[in-house]
Amino acid sequence: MTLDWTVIWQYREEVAKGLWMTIQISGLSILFSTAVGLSIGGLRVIPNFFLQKILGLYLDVIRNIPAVVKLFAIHFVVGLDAFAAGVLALSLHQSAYIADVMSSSLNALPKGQLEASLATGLSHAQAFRRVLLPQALRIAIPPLSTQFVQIVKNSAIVMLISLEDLTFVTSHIQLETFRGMEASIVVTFLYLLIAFAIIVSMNLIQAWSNRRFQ
Amino acid sequence: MSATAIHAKHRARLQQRQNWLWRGILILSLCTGGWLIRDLEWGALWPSAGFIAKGLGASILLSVLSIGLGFLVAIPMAAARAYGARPLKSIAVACIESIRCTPELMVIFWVYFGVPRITGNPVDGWFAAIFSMTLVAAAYMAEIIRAGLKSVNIGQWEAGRATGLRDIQIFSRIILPQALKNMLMALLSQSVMLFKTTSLVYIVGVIEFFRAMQIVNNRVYAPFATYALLAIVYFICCWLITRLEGLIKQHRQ
Repeated sequence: MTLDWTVIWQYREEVAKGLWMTIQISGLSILFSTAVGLSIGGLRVIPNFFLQKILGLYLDVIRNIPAVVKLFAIHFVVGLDAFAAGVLALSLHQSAYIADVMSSSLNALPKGQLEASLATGLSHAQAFRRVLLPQALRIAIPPLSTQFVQIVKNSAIVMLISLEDLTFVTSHIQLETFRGMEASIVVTFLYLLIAFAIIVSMNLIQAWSNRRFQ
Repeated sequence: MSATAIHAKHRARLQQRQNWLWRGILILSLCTGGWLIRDLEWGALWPSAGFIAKGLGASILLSVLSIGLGFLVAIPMAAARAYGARPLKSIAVACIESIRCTPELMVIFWVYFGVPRITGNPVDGWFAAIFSMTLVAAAYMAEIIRAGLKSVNIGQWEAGRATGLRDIQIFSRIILPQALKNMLMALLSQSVMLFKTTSLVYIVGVIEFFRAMQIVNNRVYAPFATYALLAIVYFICCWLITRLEGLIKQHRQ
């Protein structure tokens, strides 16, 4: 088997465009899913029986349906355009997992933290915002970076509704030149690069928060 | 009876009442949901029921095959990562992490584009699907098994050696069974994940559940019924596995 890299060089502009599309989609999805996930995760620790049952059911439904089904339903049935459908489906899918990360970080805090802040005269809302949330977010950084990498990986499914991301470019190169193997290797490398960038930046945020708050 | 005991009893009764109320609400909303979707184009899907069932069977067969094969591949990978010497360990880490950090669609492409270049023959869709799903399952399960192996007390190794067993015997007879017991939950969650991932293999031409529904929808155009059925069936299948997890957890306590 001989590998011919010149083909990939001819397609460099398409690969760059695909890379940009993947970064856009996953960046927006990371923003939205974090916002939604953190809010739901916060609601998960309120001790109200029916609220918890309803949220649990919602998360179960979201988690147990494949992202592709959501993507196709949003694109073909609801009728959003491909880009919006991609971002919405990915955000919806991953927010359920991020909510879990958030609620387990909040539950990992010692119970005394809430009691102590209530004893100093803070209201529940203040105690949550000033005492519990900052600590929980710091615990959540490593699992959150796993979730973000997961979003980048899941973003590959947007090619199925013909959005021209990295994976789409791979199959396009295979279709035109039969050099799919080389394209796969290059594109995999690019995905690894994005994942690596996310992990490194999350580690930097963690280091910054350790310096700032300890 | 002390005040705390009365309090605890009261709370337990309240909890029970809330649980019954919740079940009532759940059944009521299920009925309402069923009533709301009664008018969807079910009649259009009905003639293709056999085809759809075959697709679902293909999905389940693919998941079971790749979980089984993946498990067999995952054990040596996990052992290499947990106990291996430097070069062996590095190879295992590289294999596991490069699959885990790559989109599942790209893993399918590796197999589908890569294998013909090595063997010179085009690959069958089913072969590519099973191969790639096995790779994905193996990489994720290897990490779970490694965590399970690490959870077994080191004293088990020492005790095994003291009784004169060989390392391979200790691993397969003493360490692995205990590790399996510890990681059963995580493996079940992983199989839910894999079942959902099988919805991607239609890209290499395998007609599994998702693709079967697409084909039917393209022929009769009943999008609402199609996606409602897709969501409901996937939910039920995954929920059953999750439920199994809950039952095992209850049984152990």
